[in-house]
Amino acid sequence: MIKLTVSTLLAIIFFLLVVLFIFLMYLLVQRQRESYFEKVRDRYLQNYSQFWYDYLFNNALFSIVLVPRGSAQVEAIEKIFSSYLKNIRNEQVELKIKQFSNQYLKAFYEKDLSSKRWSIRMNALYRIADLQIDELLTKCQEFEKNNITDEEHFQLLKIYSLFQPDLFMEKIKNSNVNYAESEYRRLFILLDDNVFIRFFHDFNSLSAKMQFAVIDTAAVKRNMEYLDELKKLLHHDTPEINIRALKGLYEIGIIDEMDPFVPFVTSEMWEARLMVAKIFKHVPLTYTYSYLEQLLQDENWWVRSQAAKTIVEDRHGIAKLQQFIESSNDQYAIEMAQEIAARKEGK
Amino acid sequence: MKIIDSCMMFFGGIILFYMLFVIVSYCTMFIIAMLDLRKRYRLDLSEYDDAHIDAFYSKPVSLLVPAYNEEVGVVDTVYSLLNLRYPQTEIIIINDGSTDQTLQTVIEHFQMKPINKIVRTNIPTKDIKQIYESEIYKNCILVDKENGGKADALNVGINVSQYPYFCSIDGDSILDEKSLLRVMKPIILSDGEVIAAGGNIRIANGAKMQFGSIYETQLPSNYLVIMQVIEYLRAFLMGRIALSKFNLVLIISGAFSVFSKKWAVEAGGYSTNIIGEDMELVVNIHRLIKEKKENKRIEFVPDPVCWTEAPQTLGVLRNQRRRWHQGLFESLWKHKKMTLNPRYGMIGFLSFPYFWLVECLGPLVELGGYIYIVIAFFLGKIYYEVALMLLLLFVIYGVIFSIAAILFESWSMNTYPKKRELLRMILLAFTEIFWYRPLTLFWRCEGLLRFVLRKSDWGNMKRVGIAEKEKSV
Amino acid sequence: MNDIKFTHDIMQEHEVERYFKIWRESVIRSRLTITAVFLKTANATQLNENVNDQVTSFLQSKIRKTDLLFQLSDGDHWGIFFLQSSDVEARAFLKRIFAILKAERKFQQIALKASITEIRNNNVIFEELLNKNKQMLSGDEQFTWSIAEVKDYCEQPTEFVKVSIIEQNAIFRQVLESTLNQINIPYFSLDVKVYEDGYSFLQSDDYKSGHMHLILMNDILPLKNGLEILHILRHMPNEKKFIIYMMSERNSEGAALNAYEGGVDEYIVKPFNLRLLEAKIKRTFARFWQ
Repeated sequence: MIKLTVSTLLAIIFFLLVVLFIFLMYLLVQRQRESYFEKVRDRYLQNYSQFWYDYLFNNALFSIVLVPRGSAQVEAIEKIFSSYLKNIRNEQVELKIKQFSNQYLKAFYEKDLSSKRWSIRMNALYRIADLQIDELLTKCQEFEKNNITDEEHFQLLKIYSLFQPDLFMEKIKNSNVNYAESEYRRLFILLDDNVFIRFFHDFNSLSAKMQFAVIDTAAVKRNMEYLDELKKLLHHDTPEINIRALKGLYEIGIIDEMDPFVPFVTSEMWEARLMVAKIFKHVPLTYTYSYLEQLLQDENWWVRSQAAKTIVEDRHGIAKLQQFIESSNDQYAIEMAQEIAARKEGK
Repeated sequence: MKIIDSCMMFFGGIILFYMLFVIVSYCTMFIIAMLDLRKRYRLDLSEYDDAHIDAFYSKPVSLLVPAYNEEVGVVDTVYSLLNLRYPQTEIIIINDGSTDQTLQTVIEHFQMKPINKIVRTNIPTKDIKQIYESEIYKNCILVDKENGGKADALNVGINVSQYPYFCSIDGDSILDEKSLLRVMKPIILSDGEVIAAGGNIRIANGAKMQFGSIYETQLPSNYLVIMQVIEYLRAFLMGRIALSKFNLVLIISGAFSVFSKKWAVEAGGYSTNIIGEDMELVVNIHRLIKEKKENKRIEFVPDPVCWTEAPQTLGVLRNQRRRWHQGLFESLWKHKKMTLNPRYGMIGFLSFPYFWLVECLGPLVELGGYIYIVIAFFLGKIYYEVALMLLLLFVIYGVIFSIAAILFESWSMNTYPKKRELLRMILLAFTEIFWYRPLTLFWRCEGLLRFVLRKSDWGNMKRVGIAEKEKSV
Repeated sequence: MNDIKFTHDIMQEHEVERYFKIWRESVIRSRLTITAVFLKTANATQLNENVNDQVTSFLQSKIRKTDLLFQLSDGDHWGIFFLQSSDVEARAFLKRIFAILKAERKFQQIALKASITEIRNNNVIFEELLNKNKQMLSGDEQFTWSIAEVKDYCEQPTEFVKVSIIEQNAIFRQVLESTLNQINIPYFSLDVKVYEDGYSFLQSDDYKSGHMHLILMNDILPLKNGLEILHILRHMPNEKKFIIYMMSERNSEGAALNAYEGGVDEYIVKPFNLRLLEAKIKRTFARFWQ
């Protein structure tokens, strides 16, 4: 039996070595092909980069030599386009890229979409969104009916949000995939304001992560319309939503009334108290000092620290803090006030 | 003679059986890793990178650089951190009471000025002497503290840090510009369900670099270092990726890993009285997850690359391996109750047994195998067959696996693009079982022994500095 | 009226010449336009000392502290140097005082004519300036209250400006290079150089010359990043000559604040509009001559 095993082992080793050898050969051939591919790509880049610049920026005539032949040249064009789109904002250039891609690159990506390889399909979906190939929209909708992964689905949503916001709104509300907050933000940020505001209309039907993402995106968009929507959310039943809305309002930085915020000074959640202490930065100290003094004596270190920082930002802040240090008997609060005041004076 | 006979048969059987077991488990992990990497083959990652460079989609990270006598390497490390493509970071260099010029070098290089800063003590540590802030980079600070070991230095860093995640980087390592973005990817995309992530470590020896950026990867010329390169590739393909898929990771390298500050603090930060403080923290966090019955994960990310310097001489390598193994044993021993404990689920039933059997006690058995072959040679014919089989298993285990790892890495990541380098690695892999493997086995067994005898000495590595003699101006 | 005799503390031609030589050089060095105005009574026959004194004291009361009034040696011309002012301001000044002189009764006897010379280069010789203006005012063809103009010195010299683009992406680098090469800024000639990393820029030593230097760079760069270059440049003795634009793809408030605190003149988040960048650069240069 042992004898048998030795020869079996030898056979196995031999077999494995052969397999590895074939793999090695395949790799070497692959390398060769890759380097040829790169050569073609780089040659295209070298020869036509200037043409592209002239065509896109200087209104030079389009030349047929720019049309790609083969995937190496497509990759070169992708490189050129992505360098432009990533660095430069120019509607005319974007439009030209879009037109070109719809005309000459569409076929390449359409083929890639039906690839068996997940990564190739993903890359195609990336490009369709980046280069705005809207003629592939119906193709994408067909593609959605296949058994696709969550990542592909996300990419499709992004494509819809670019080409057909209504379809996007419908899909995202009925989507049963749960994406990360940051992914929802990536989807929402590109929406037009009149589409985005619809999220607030049926806010409660959204999943928690979408709700958070809506609030955060609204804060970044800094539209006055959203200010009122965010203020409404301060009365929402979910504490986390209240805190997010406070944070959003702080980031927008326009505080036109105090009343909605005052109740949070005595909130149960320290995060809410912290956010209020931050929000008061945007309000003159005369209106907020009494609340900030209260927050300066908070049980939570972060709240105390923020309250002191907010006070100090005002022109008369240091004087107020000194006054507080002399009159108070809350040792923790005094220490915090002293530290922050010392740091401010040190600067 | 009878006794020797049955002894030989018995041990031969055990070793053979063990080798088969190890080979099968490695094969399984290799296949899992292969499938995982195949899916991602040629995926364009820049899409994610470009989007997430925007602060709106990512979370700020504090980068902790503990430095004890790192005057040669630390400046390059900090440069590599300054060049990271990441929207919001702070760099905290912690000088752990170095006796060389580390402090002065950093102060001079980055124009550090003393500042007053309020530090919140989340984890008790040795005293901080002074905190400095760079005049050039406002997000770069230096903490000068009493010597207390790497773990203590990291704890100070955690206390000083202001962001929700921290990343520990050894004071002699270089990060790839996109590595932080990508190691944070599982954390961002899981909305914090992943609470720690470790990156892939590569060997920097031989790579050409300047001011903290690697501009050409080149296979080092030293055979000892090439063997380590191969060893790292293997460990990564047959181990880390598969374990990570099932949330079984017990080790994410301390040289480059990200943790959620909240969880790390709750787990008590880094333990100061243990050799393998990085493993200890991971195990503690696993423990915490299970005890709080939360659905959190620790992941290993195959792509992010941290370049670190490998030992170039046998002496230093011996010290390193001895220490690593002693550390591994110590950590496993400390948490031995988790082994096969239903409370800890898969960690208890799969991870711990795997680490005990394959990683920790493996060298002992394997070394036994080598000794067996030698003895069998002297005892004569009857044992030749068992010895031969053992040898063949070693060939599979050593040579075949190594070559497979080299080829597969070359296919999926292509770190060393030159054909000559690829062939050189493969040729060298054939020699592995004759010198490198037995040597490291021996050192690791030494480590085991030292743990049993409770010896400890902190094998300090002699550093050349990653930037080959190139002086940073 | 004539019982009070003013002793006017007015500078004389020969005293002013020395100052003029200094100002003339700072026209180039600090890009400060000087405008000289010369005045002469229109009806020279009526010249009397009283009128002369009256004009002197009137002018003295109207000029700003930074303007310099002086009397020419021939006695019937006044000169005023307006520092940091163009002909537009000088003309406005003249219109204003002429209006006052015409309106008020006590100045009835005074009638003036004037000439303006805008000086934007240093090829001016004091003597020549005076002569040209005297000639301009000497003829009888000008009317009273007329304002003539000497155009000989208003052409500013073309200044040589170095432009360094430090950007890693080769395609975008080329775009920036082409764009900046195409920018046409009056009186400035741009010499554009490109670098792909911070180290090669510092190695080039190009930034050590005294020329004005526009730098357009990324914040993250291989080998010596943008912030470090910024620090080095801003700590050089003549750091004012650098105009530093920093481009960044990190859309983060903190990063922008750090950059401005470190001394960038503009912080531009990618992707940005090239036309806008061009306009910003043009505006930056236009501001240099005042």
